[in-house]
Amino acid sequence: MGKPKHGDIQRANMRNGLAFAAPALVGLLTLTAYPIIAAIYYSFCNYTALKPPVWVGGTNYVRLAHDALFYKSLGNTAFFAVLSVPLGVLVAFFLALLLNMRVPGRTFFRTVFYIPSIVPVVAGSVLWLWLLNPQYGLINYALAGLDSGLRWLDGLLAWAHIRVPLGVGQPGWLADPAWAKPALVLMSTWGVGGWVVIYLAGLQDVPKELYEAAEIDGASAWDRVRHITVPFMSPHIFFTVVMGLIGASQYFSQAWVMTGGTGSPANSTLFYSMYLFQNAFQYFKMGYACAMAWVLFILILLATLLIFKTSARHVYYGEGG
Amino acid sequence: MTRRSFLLGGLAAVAAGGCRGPAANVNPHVVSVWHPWGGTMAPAFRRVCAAFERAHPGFTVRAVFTPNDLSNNQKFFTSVAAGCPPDAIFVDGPQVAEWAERGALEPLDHLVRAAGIGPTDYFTPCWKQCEYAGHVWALTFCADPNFGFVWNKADFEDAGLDPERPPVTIAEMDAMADRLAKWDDGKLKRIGLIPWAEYGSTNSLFTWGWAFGGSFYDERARKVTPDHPGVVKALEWMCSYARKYDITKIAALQAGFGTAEQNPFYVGKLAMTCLHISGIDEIRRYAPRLRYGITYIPYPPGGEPHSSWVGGWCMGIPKGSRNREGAEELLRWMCATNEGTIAVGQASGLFPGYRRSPCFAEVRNRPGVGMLYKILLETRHQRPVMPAQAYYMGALQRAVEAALYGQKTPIQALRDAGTETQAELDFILAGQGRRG
Amino acid sequence: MGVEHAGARRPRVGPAVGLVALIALSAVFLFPFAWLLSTSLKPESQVFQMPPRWVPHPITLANYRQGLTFIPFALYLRNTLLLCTFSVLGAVTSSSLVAYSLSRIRWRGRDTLFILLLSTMMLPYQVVMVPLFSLFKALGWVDTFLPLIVPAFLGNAFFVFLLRQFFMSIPADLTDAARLDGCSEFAIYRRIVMPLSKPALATVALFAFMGTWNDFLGPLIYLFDERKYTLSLGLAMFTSQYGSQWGQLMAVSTVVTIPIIVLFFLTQRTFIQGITLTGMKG
Repeated sequence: MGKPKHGDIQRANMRNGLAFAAPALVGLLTLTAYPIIAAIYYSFCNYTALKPPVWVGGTNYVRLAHDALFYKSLGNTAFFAVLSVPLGVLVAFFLALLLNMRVPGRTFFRTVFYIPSIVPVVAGSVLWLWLLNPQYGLINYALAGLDSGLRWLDGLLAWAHIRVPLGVGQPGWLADPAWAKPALVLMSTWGVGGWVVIYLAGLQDVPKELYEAAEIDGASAWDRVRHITVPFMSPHIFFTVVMGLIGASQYFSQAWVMTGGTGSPANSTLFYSMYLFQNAFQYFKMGYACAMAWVLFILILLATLLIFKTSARHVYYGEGG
Repeated sequence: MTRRSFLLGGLAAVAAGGCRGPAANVNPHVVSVWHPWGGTMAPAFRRVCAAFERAHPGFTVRAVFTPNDLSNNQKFFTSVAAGCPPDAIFVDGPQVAEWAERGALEPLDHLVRAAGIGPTDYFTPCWKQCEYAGHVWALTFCADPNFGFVWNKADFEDAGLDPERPPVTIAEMDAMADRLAKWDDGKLKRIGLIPWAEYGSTNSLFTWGWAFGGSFYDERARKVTPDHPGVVKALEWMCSYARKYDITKIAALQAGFGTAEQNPFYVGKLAMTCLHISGIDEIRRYAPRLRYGITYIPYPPGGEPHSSWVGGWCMGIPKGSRNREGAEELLRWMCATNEGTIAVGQASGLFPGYRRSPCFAEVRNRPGVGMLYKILLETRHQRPVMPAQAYYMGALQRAVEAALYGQKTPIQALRDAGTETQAELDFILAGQGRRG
Repeated sequence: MGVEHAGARRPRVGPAVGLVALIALSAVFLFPFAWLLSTSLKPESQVFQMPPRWVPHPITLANYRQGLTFIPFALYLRNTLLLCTFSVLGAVTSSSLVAYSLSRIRWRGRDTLFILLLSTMMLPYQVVMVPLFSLFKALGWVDTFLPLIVPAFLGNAFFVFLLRQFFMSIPADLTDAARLDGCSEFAIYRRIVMPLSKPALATVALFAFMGTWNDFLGPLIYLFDERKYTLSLGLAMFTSQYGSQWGQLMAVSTVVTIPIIVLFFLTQRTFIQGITLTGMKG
């Protein structure tokens, strides 16, 4: 029996590749193509969704460039993405490592950290509004405790003639335009349970022999994490970073619930998708909203491609691929 | 491959079973209506629908609850855009003109003529909300007098004020608020009044703006007037509270659990505030021991005494409704007949917009609600009836917050809101909006 | 023979510290559920007491009684479970097939397809919602479960990407060897790749389930008949502009949450099944 020719293998691969990808191809052609083409078309029209669209060329895009709220909302979303994605990845990774250790009650703890993702949104939001209350919430209560501790320390130092002003304020959180977004970032971090589950699944694939060998060689825990765990987990970290970015770019419904759908205080929580939603369904400017959507799309696509390019060096797929 | 065949079989069964699309419903005796009446109002609305069915043997009302999450617009607009709307729909009062302009509603001129309904059948501001561009587009289902002014009698006593003498002028209210504010170790424990917390920044501006003698829209000139001197004065007055008491400290009192029911007034942290009609029941349920009184909103010299504006929901018929006649009958019965409005009033505790309704006779002497009825009789305002309404409300909200947080001066903030909204309004009225 | 460890055996301090950290963090993460439970057992007048009490006095089950009858709970639960089941089946089968194509077969255009698929997630749903709805209306699928079920079988970009990452970590030698032996691609998929990916598949199943369980917008716009409503819509029925039933909402939310927690707890083992790659060294 002769070896199969290269061309035959290529053709077979092409056939199989397409065959396996068939569900996605069907989905793209039937359910995705029309809405996407429509959305492109609408972005060049005045469209209210209730009456036929009217072509206006690039007017929507030009107006967008002059819209102060466009820039404000873009800035808000960028701020949120830059803070919440790395923070979420770090916290989730740290939790996954903790939950992978051989501690009693592992199963219980893993369930506990996933609970925020199960609890209905309304209960979670209401609870965080209370936690973040500037005067009566637990977070500022804890900060106040920390503050008194630091002031006590300050007093001690003053007694030793060392004057160092120590103190941590209690932010106004959702009532303060400067602190509302960090409050939401904090709240989003609490929902990393999903990523923890992904990382946990990924941790199972890290060959245990490598850890043992490293320990024998005298590597510290930190070294082991840095040189073994992280590389093997890099595909999943990569996944959560990309997905986190895409999710953060469309973040708004949680903010809506927490701030009553207005972007308050003072537009500090007016996220891009919230402003898009307002334009689409409240101001009857669906065409304008489509233009906003495509601008966001291009930005995120570029960012994602950038991440892909730079990840080639850092993401390690073992011997697979 | 038994698993796969099970899958396909199950799919087929579900597809077949679930395929009772709306196309199947052309029965003229079935009227579908989408409504926002959940929570405590859900049993009430069910009773009203049942009363309608009893009064119309053979008719069935298919009431579908559409939650107001984000906004019920998403569900409604996708259905209208695709051509399968419900037969009847609930519209928020201020949205009628905009939805009419955008082509979401059918005109009700035929219904109004045939049933002999006229402007004098409704409270004036209610009728004004439903009329636009020479047509009638909706009928008022409930009229909410916004607002009653309430004060906490126990807090008054605690501050050395006469619990039976609420403030009548703004100056009196400011003086009382000073005495009612209670501090404890730098924390605000109680405040007299939070002017911008009357159910949102925009509604607060409307409330105080009108009380200060301002006006928001010039109908004849079709110009928005948020920079009217009265409105500017009202916003400046609101900002004075923000400065005096530090807005973040006040927000701490407000935040609570973030729900409407967690009104700081109910838990004694706010001594005076404006109250919506639903608040009467809420106090009964969540703060049964609260001693409070209800009166008219205070006003400044040169302002408007007994100021209030009307809120509440209307019913309309969506464009493309398949059972126009049934829907018209539903609207007529629920919004413009004695028995219908009595059913609504009794079941929900709200006020119908139909001023001739006999349900008012028994309401006028009840404590609390009776006062709100007196307020309703003198209500002169409704939110601007114009097609850039949602945009205007958003612009006003941004203006109020910019001023409160010191980012802009009140007059500048209001002027900017006016400029933006006027541009939007002109654009729509010029017909660009008409064609799409 | 075992290798002698250099020096004395180091005490295992890691797990002890870890346990302390876990207990502390758990308190934070359990908070919402504890509050949910606590509020559900309170009489109405205590629900919004400030500062809130954790142990209600008296404890009442009225919220549960009323809440579970206020909405047709069993019906909504049945609808939701139906949708979730199909969603999980669709996600696991279709996403794994597509992920296999994008990771285990080398063909021209696979990276393009991957980026294309991924980019469908980058467009906010609000702008595709209306045309997509019109599409389903043209098919006659509005007011049925089909718009909520069929897309699950067409490869969801999120799950495809997730599984792709896992599949790529499987050593190529395994599948190459099988190919040389004359195995068909589908056999490799079914007999080698899928069994090795149980934790990943369990993760996909979990996410698909939770996504559909909590899905609000889909049921909201596609279902016109209250009898078809799901639990997420049912929960929304407790709130309204004019007054909400908070105690009952918390009670029903608790009833909705507890089974998921229990299920998650009991199926933990599937998530942590390791892969034993015996004989693959060297």
